[in-house]
Amino acid sequence: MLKINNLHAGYDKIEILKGVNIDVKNNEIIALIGPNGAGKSTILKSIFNLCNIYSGEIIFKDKNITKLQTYELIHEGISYVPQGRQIFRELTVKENLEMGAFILDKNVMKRNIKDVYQKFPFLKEKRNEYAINLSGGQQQLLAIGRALMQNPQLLLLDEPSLGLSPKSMKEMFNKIKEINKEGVSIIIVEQNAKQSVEIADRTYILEDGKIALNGGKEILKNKKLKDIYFGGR
Amino acid sequence: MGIVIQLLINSLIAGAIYALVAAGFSLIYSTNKFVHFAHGSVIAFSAYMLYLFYSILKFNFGIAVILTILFSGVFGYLLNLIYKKLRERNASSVILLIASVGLLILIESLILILFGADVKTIGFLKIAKGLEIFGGIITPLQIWIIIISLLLLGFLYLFMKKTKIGKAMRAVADNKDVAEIVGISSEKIYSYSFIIGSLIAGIAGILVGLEQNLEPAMGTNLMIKGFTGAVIGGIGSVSGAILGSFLLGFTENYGIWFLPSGYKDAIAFTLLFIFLLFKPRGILGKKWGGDK
Ligand SMILES: Nc1ncnc2c1ncn2[C@@H]1O[C@H](COP(=O)(O)OP(=O)(O)OP(=O)(O)O)[C@@H](O)[C@H]1O
Ligand SMILES: [Mg+2]
Repeated sequence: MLKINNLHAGYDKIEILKGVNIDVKNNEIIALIGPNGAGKSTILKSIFNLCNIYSGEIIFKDKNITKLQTYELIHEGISYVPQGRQIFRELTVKENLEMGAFILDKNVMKRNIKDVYQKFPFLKEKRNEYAINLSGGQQQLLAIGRALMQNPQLLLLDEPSLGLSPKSMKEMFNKIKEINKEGVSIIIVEQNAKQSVEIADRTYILEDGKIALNGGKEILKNKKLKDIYFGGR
Repeated sequence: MGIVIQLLINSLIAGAIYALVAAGFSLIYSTNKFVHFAHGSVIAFSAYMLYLFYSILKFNFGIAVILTILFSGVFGYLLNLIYKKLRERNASSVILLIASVGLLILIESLILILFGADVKTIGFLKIAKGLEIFGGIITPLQIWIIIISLLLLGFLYLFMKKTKIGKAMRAVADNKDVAEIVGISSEKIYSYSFIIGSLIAGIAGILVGLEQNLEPAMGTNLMIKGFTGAVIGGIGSVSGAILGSFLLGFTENYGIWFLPSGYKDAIAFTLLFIFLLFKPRGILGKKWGGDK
């Protein structure tokens, strides 16, 4: 479904990704892990055309999407949830969701908001509250709900469990599995290696802008993973 | 008793005008995140446009008003194009602030060159006899000023709360990066803010132009008041700007009960400094500063 071929990308003249290859199949959950500053977020940003791409290509459903604008990517079926509970804090919950469907038709918006309310009933309950008043975990789910308003086929999640209590973290991973079961492919960036490898079909480990290792759940036992992940500390 | 009522009326009129200035200014600040002092020049521009269309070219009053409002919107749109060029060169919000002061001076100088320094009057509605309410006197024009301001501010509130574009403006004001990733073009939103803010400033310019005399520096004077109102209320919050403006109107007008009337402007400055020093976030406290 998504193929990243030999991607070199970064910010202005600073190259962060030095030849990244990733392959996502239909209905997969792909975990992307690696130490701080490895370039995990940059991979998601490059899919969403939010950083500079120097060479390489990104193919989505047989179409080269490397140079597409944000609204075109949303129409193609890709949605992005950035790192760090990114919501509109001074808009209500309902308005946050509406903004998710900003570029879509009003009828599509109304239909999708019902679906999102069904998935996350607390959002319906709190629809008229300002988003700033939600708890951390709820804010993160709101950000995911906002992305689901776009009916994605591929969902890019950047560290959705960051800063959550163990209980909300578990809830979060359950929700992610649920969304995936409904036919949405997911790339999830995580610090939390163990949890994410467990829910993922396959995991890529990124080190200094390159894929160092990839594989299924057995990857947890790989000695190299421990070296990369905990070696430097 | 009469004086209390009269000061109340005066406060309401001043507050209504300041609120229009401050609301547009705050709207632009909230999305663009820089202080657009040249907003004041839109007011002067509009007052002089009305003078041109109505008093010089002798257009029908209604047509002159409509043309003036439209031109003000276009004027705001053009101002944004200048800022856009600067933004494309990575100008910081401080650079944009300096540019806006430059634009304000430039536009007022152009008005001075084209229309001269002498005070102008638009002779419409002005001579009408005042009505007496509980010992205070208010002219029909002044009643219109209050009604039109309140209606406009009400419309602006509904626009921001209920329409898709209004919500998108609040979204950009809140978190521009997230707005971009849901497909909202912040450049477009900047542009809409300038147009809407300037349309309101245009109407304020018309009301002021009818109520007072025109002079090239009128925009700067009103901008100082509008800016003070916006700071008192909490910069970047449109409802705060409205609240702060009425508060300023009341303080100024009741202040001269105790002080000689020459101190009226000093009251605004004093209030501005008190807030900047002790409560820079204003009453409805939002964060100052550009990039968050
Ligand atoms: N907007 C930017 N401009 C310049 N450099 C950036 C920018 N964003 C990130 N970087 C740099 O790119 C490198 C990779 O950052 P990235 O955010 O992709 O890392 P990450 O793997 O997601 O790390 P983390 O776990 O901390 O989120 C870092 O060295 C970072 O400093
Ligand atoms: Mg990151």
